[in-house]
Amino acid sequence: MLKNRFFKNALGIEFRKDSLVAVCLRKDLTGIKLVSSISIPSGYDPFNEDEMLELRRFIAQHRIDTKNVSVSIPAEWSLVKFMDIPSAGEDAINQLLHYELERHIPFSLEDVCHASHIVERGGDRCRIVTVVVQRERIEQINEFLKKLSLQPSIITVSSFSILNSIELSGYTTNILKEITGLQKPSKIFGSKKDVCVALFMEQDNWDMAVIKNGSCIDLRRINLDSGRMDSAWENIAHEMSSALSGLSVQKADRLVISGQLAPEHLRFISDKAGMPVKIIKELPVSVHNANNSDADMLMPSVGACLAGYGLGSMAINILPDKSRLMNKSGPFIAKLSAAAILLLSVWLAVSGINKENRSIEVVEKEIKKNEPELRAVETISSELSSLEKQKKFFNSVRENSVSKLSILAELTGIIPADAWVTNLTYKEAKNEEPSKEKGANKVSAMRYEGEVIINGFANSSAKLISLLENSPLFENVEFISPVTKGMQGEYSKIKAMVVKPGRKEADKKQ
Amino acid sequence: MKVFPKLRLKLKLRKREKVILAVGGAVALLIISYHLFQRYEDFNASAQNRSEAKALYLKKQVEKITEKDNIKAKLENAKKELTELERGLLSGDKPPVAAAELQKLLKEIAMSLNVEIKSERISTPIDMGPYLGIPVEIGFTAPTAKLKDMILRIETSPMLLTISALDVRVMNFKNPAEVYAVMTVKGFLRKQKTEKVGNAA
Repeated sequence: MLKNRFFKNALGIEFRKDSLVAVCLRKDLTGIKLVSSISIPSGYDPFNEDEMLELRRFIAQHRIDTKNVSVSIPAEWSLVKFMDIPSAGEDAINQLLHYELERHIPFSLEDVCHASHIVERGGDRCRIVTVVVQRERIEQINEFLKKLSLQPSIITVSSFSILNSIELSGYTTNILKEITGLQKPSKIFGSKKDVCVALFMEQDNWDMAVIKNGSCIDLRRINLDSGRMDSAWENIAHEMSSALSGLSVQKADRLVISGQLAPEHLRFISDKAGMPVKIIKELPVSVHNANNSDADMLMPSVGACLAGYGLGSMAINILPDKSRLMNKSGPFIAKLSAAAILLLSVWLAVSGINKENRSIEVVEKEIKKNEPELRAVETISSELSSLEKQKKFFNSVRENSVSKLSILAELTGIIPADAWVTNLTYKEAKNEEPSKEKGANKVSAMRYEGEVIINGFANSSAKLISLLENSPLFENVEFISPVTKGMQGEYSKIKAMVVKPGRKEADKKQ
Repeated sequence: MKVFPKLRLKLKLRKREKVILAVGGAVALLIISYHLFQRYEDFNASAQNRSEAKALYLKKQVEKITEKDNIKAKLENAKKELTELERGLLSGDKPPVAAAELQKLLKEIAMSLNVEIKSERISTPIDMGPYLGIPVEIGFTAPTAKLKDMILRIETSPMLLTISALDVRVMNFKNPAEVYAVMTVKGFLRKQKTEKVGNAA
């Protein structure tokens, strides 16, 4: 679609009364350009094979896309009729229009090609423009184009082509605007509420169109043959007031002029008009290699060609099978682009998440792959930890236990000579697994190796307590029965806790 | 002949109403877009966190796997060391057999010191994690020097033995040359997998 819309040369042909004008337009990234134009002079017989050579050469030289061909025919070949009819349902309007056409045209409906368009809606009535052309003329044009291997996409009337050109003056487009649909509508004919009168030259005649809300609601030919400008202006003013009163419009808001008028005449009209006047001198496309001096002459063919691109609101296509060939892809492209942008945004958003998910998937796959090996490592680790625990048991038995000989030696060393031990009991503290112990018992199991109970005589039993307490092996030394006095001195029963090796020294250091 | 290119919606609105509708629509669209964006951000952040967590887990997994050879070597060393240490355990599959072995060992020590064991008693085995403590109580009369030697021999025995209780009584206060000692010696036995042991004594 985009390829068809861009970078292809389109052909605009205007059939004039005594000549043929052809333009080649090119639409590229920067906009629409007029590449070349050709005017085949008077006396030209369009249906003569020999005389078509020049046009054939033009087509071949510019590599015209054979399906991008727009045709403008002279206003004389057509009958343009504006009708006010009741605003009813679609079917009713179609029937009414059918009836009105049969009443107004001097031909049978089968012998003509026609196109109708609602140009204004207001209350219970609507205004319709109908363009009627003899079928024979259209067939002749088609035959002519067929010989050149061309297929028209639009056939319109030159008055509407020129209006299209005027409307698109100052209009710029490029691929970005077209794709995003951000093209600003043309303001040549003013805003929606404005009524504009367009005065333009169609071949050698002057036409006047009344534009309202972007649609041509009246079109008439006016006579400006008079050499004097004041009488010409009178004609213009008369026709304008007649057209506006017929349309129940009090006053036009602006005047647009396009055509060959002397500067002094333009000044005269500007003075007399009493409303803003806009002069259109240039073509609505940038000129690439072609000569822009004949802008007025090229207006219809360029306007038709732009209508072929789907631009402008003044195009009426009288081609019988218009729906197939009319190039109205602009809005479609805009919608397509919007959808593409939306999809792209969604894709970007989703792709970010998708990327993360894919990376997670890769990592998960790797984790799953490593799991058997990890299980093996964990088994080895747990086996190692179990062995370490067993080793720890041996160490605790060997290194943490206090030698009973050292207890006896310590007691022998610290008990004074005047004291006698009659009974010594050592009992190991419960040596279950520390984790099974709770609270104070746990602390006790971790700190004490066991307990010693000493029975005996001494001159001073109290002195024994302090002696034992000062020993690195004993702690919590206390009498566990009352001290009694006998023949050999004081009899006492003392209990002391045996501290695990190094514990007491460690406490002192702290 | 068709004049209508498409069906038109006949909805008559004033300009002010149209502006309000358009502004309202735009605000609604903005709010919806903001919420959608927030949700998207949250989802994205959670996916990122999940991805980071998984990557960290993988890193740790790989580190652990890399350590495999090292752990294996440590395991081999530990096994060797433990085999060496377990030489000090009592032989025999069952606690009574081990207890008998311990009794025999204590008798040998006593005999070597010319000490006569007067009483013997086997206590209930004690559960000590992977091992069982096999306590054997012996009673004998001996001079303190021989008691010292007895304790020394037990504590320096190549077997893993500990004295868990000791009761020393002077036989005669006036002549305290001999003492009566009751000693509980504990040997150790590797717990069999199917072994069921009562509470610790």
